[in-house]
Amino acid sequence: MSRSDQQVARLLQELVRLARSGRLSLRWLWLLGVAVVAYLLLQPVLERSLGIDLPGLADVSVVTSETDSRASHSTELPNEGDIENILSSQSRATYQSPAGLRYTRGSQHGHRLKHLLAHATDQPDRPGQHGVFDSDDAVEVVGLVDEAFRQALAGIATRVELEAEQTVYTVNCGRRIGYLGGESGKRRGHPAASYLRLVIEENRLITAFPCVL
Amino acid sequence: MFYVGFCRVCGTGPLGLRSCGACSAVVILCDECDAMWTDADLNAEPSSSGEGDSLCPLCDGSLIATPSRWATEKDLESVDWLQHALQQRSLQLRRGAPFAIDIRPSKDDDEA
Repeated sequence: MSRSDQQVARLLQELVRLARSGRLSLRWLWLLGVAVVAYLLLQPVLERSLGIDLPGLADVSVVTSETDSRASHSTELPNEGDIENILSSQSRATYQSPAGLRYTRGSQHGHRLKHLLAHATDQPDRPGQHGVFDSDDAVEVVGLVDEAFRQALAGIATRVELEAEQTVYTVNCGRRIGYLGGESGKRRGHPAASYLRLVIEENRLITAFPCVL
Repeated sequence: MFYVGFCRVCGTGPLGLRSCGACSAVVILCDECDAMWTDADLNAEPSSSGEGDSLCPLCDGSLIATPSRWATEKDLESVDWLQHALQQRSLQLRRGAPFAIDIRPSKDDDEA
């Protein structure tokens, strides 16, 4: 698939997603679809006849992505460089994920990102349950948290609990994302976990880990 | 780490007894989500961690930075609210491993 085809596909995916989320009615979706097709057909003709360079759909797609980033709905991947910089150093910089979650300094690990990644390994002697991600890749784990956060904001298969300043989302990811470790998980034979629990304060991530309901 | 149960906020974190390095008070600190209580009333609204380190609800000192630490048996002997709750059996004192801090052992550690 060419870059331009990929951009068109991404744009169409965005439109379908907007329609599904109810932010775009089917009537507007249909009109936009007609406009996109008309533009695709007319663009080369107009460029040839008028001798000008019209913007491609790729440019439109970029604008869509930036808008969504502000609205915390981008599907952009986490920035590996920023994440690695915090994990491999004593950096206390705030990391903001594509979905808009802020990872700040804090916790006994020194940084919320490090605290999150502490759930990438089992701690068999830790009392109670210790959720463990299947992946120990930082970018994948942050991406999974973003995916669950977006799902929670959309209100899909999510239980929400409010406690003082904290909001706790328990999101059904619909697939295995990890397992139950810790003392309790060990006793129970490390059952598979398909739920992700997120503890959020405003848009700041406190913790997130796989869990079993 | 001495702990007195599990956190109702995050659902899994052991509720550790943390000694504040600044004012020497012992508070209950969730080892997972940093929710805090200053006494045995766990039905009360917890304090939360704020933007950076978890701060002692009594003196605003850091509960994370040294000399703050998990309370020792000796520390706990002089904590009236804890001793009262243990006598009343509203809390049960247990001992367990705290959340490990070192999340990325070096390659040398892996090979060893």
